[in-house]
Amino acid sequence: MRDEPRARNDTDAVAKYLSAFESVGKGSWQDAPAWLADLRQNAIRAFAESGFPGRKDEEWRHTNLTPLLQAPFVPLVNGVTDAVAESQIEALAIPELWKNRLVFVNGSYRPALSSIAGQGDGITVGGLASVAADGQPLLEQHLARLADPGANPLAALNTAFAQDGTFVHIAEGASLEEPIYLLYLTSTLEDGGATHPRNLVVLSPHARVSVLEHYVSACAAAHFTNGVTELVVADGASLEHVRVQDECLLAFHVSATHGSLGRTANLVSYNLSFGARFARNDVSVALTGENALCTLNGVYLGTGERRIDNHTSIDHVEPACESHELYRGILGGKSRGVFRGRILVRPNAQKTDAKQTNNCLILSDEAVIDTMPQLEIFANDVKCTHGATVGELDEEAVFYLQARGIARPDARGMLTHAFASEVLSRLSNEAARSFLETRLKTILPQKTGV
Amino acid sequence: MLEIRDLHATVEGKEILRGIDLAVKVGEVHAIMGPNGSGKSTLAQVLAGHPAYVVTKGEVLYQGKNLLELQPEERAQRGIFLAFQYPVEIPGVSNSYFLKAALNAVRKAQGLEELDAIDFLELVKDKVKLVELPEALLHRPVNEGFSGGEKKRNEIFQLAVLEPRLAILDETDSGLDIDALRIVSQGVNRLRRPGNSVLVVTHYQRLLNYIVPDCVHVLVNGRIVRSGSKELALELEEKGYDGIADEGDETVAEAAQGEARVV
Repeated sequence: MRDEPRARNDTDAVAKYLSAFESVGKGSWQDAPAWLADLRQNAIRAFAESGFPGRKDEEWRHTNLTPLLQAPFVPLVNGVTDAVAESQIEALAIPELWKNRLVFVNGSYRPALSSIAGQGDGITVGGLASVAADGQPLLEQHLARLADPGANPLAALNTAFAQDGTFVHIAEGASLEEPIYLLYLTSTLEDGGATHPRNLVVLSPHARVSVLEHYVSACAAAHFTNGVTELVVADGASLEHVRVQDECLLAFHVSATHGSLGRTANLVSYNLSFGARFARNDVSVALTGENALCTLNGVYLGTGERRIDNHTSIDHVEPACESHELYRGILGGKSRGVFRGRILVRPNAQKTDAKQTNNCLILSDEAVIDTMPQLEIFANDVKCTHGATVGELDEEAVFYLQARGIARPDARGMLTHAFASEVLSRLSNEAARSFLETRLKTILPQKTGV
Repeated sequence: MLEIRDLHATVEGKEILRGIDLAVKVGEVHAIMGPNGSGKSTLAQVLAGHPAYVVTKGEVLYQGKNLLELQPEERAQRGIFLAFQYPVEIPGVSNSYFLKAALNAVRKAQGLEELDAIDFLELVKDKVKLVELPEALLHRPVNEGFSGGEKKRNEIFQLAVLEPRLAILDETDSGLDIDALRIVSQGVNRLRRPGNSVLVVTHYQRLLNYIVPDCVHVLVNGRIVRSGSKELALELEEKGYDGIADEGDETVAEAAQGEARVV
């Protein structure tokens, strides 16, 4: 049989990325160990073979990448001084989390702007590139194991192009009370810049920590953020992982978060998609030890002609694990959203308890959400439920507020905010919760419709 | 205070109110009694401005002005308060946040200064005692997970904070045990002022032992079939709605029987 040439409309875009790798990508991480150079080389090779995902890829067929391919995004070469970044940070960062922070500007780590209290005592937090140069063995052991460059072309691009990112290791039994705050700031005046932040969080048995990734832009330019985060949560360890995407409304944002949980491990994930013109988030978690517990929370907001896709996947590998998932979206204008929630229960995963909920509030006639639960169950003694609601505000609740004197548009605004706020209210850190609540109020219309 | 003339209203095309005439003067307490399905709650909802109820004929004057042309929030801002028969649960909005927003919307409309968080808490501290509402419920989402009694108390608590000119209590007694009934009615009584009026909508006479009305109206099949003093409520208790209807004219008796068949 003759090989059909793959029908692709992405040839030009792929060529641009390949040549960017030769000119820019290759050059970064000069002190990188050989295994890492190989990993990056293999990743770009995988990308060259696969190209961008298209309509025929099941995982991607609901996401139209055309706008991303039309713009030639090349890695940003940093032109922002720390002094400029610092003044921009003040306006965008969560001040209360400032004690433990790593700051990245246009994809590169800025040690002068960063500070981690409580290093040592089993706590290692640092820039990924310098940790790699130091020969940290956990990096080679875990990097790109969960996020397979061969399986996800965008993750392959990240692996090839990442300039830097965060490495966190919490040793056995150790814990950090204050959240680790990671700020990824993009500051560029010109369209077309890309960053590929890469993060690895490793919790040894019974370790405990909270990590908050915050993606912001101090600009109004069409930039591209393509982030990958891997979370390794060993037996009995407990991780709260919060990812806040609050970039400017010209930005493209793609993210893949991969987690692996050992016995009785606990992961609580928040995936908050507030900004960007185009956002695609993948969260994939494998429950690989008995009695592991995973909670996935998400909030996504759409206005104008924005596009927000969330794809989650929970893999119940071992018995008696629990997963709870709650994603809530608010779509207005002509925005479009996709929620795809996959739950895989393998034959061995008896006594699985999985619950998935996606609620979407539609504020205009032209906004659209596609919600797709996807349950694949190969064990017989399991509890699996899923529910999706798509709707408008509860008119009885609107009337109740009006009957107390609150004007209808304000009443609608209050209920819209409450819809998202119910998810945020579960955040453990009071300061982060209150910052994000306030942010939500700023983004959401205070007065909604008629 | 309130004057209702030949009021007709429908819900989903079905006529529920068929010509109500009623006048409530400043300072008076009126009770509307009637069997299930007679239109009592519809009257309450129409006065509050629920969009599902359509007024097809008649007029309602409140403080001499056309009430029906006002939005629900405008009615509330001018001093009308409906204590809901089924208070709505509002997840994600705390009781105190909601009530502060409501109070300030009303105060703003009345040209008063808005209260800040400290003044509001001060005010609320006194009012929760009035209806013996556990303070913890202030910080919970509005009515979410409240017991039936707590929901009704929460309504009267809101009434206490908003201090309306015309309070409409829609079956506030339903689902209350005798202690809760006493607490709720005492709350209402303590809030009575010479300048305020109350319209009590109820199925049973027992609430009127606590909130003593100046006037009692019997509503059957969308019309007021009898009006009288507070003794009428006792008579109703004794004879039942059929008994009262029998003494009236034929249409009333028919209406009552029709109602009985429906029930």
